[in-house]
Amino acid sequence: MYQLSETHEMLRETCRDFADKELAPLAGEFDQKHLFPENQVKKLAELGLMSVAVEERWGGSGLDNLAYAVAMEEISRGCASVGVVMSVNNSLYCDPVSKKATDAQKENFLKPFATGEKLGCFALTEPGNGSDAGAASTTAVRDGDEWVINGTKSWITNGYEADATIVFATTDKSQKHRGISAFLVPMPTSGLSLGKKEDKLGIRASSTCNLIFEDCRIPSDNLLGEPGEGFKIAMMTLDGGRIGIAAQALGIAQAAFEAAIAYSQERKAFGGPISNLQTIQFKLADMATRIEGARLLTWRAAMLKDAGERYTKEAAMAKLVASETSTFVTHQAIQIFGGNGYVTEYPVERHYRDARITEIYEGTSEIQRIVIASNVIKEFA
Amino acid sequence: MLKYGVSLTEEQNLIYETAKQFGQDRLKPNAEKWDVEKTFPEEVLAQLGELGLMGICVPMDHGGAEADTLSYVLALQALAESCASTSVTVAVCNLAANVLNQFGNASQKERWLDPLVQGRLGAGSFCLSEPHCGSDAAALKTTAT
Repeated sequence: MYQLSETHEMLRETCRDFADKELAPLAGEFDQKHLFPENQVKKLAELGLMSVAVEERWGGSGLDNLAYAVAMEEISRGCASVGVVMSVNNSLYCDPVSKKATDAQKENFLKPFATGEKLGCFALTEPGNGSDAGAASTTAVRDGDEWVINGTKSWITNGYEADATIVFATTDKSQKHRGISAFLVPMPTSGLSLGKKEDKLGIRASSTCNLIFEDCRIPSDNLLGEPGEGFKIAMMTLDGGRIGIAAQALGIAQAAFEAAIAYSQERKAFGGPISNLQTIQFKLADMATRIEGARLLTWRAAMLKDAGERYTKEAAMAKLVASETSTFVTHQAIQIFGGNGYVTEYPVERHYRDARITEIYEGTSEIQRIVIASNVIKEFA
Repeated sequence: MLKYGVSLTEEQNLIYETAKQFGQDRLKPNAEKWDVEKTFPEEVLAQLGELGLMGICVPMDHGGAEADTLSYVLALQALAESCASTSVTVAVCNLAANVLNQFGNASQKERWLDPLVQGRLGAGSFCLSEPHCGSDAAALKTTAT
């Protein structure tokens, strides 16, 4: 585990090279102008990064989840917004569709999304429920050979660009979270409208919006999995998604760390580069150490998933540590830059803003702690 | 069995399990007594030596386990689960044994390494810090002429 296999290392180098040349130089502009990185996402698709772990016969790259984590870190190191677009398509859309869709559904709803020709999104959260995902109030009612969906989904990453969404809706209220089902909805579609684009602190090049369903009719064939299986599909999907967000957080932290260590060797104060000062050295040591620790947890969670083992706890640990590490490292990077860290001429203020969301989406740090605690308490019961 | 993303080799698992079992059988029942009485469980060192845990990375010719560094870490973790004091004693013995193994000549090894690793010498130790220098290890004042 002290080094990656040759295949993973090659992928890492390819992604790093791409991020250095095609993402990092533009990331600041994308952020400032709220520009969706359309061409960059197309290039990601050419590199096979829009569905790293999906089988090749369905248009994926057929690699494992460790490869996904490695690629996600490198891409996010170049541009965290591109990272989240990639993460949603890989973890939140392609993964559940490849696991739960029928072959007929996969032709329409997986293949073009795995190749990157189309983009997917994932609609679980609602204005009235985030962490309490079981309290969904969106409904789907059967009418002949159609389902009729009503309700509003919020914080939907990729909402403006997506060509389809997985939406979670209650089909049997009496069953509470066991009455939630998952549906595949093409976009655009009649009865589905988009809310305003959210004006966010970070990851501003990706779009986030409400999806508003008003008597939105979809064919009965678009049910994903079994009726009532939605909540389980959502939780399974988020377990895997957490590995992606952990890797995204790592990439942001790594970018901030590299910027800070380079700056500390250029910036002169008290008679030499500030990297000679122990106060700066201790920051660099803590930043580097926490990144390494978070990376090991992330890779381990990915390897457990690849081995077919249970990995819910480990993915939560990876996501928790990596996101808090990202907040810590980007904060310290601004300290090292001083005033220069607070302005847009340098990238670290963007890293700081981008890092913050990794502690919120796909399960807040608080939710990760609940997941970890319930698992360790069970283990020692 | 410990479960990590990395699968442990059979040898690594065996060393972990051996140390864990030894800790539960021989250390845990006494750990509190040794702590309160500030006694040192010398007889335990011989038993640890027989198991190869006094020189985990030392060649078998000298009585070590000839295992890798991860095995060493796993053994210390397993012992520490039962008795932290014994675990640090074993860590220091291994440290001394590794130095002897790497830098000692043949006769030094025969005289010091073999009995240490086999648990016949008592505990090894490592003397670097001085009253006035700890972290600044290069400032030591002890002389040898």
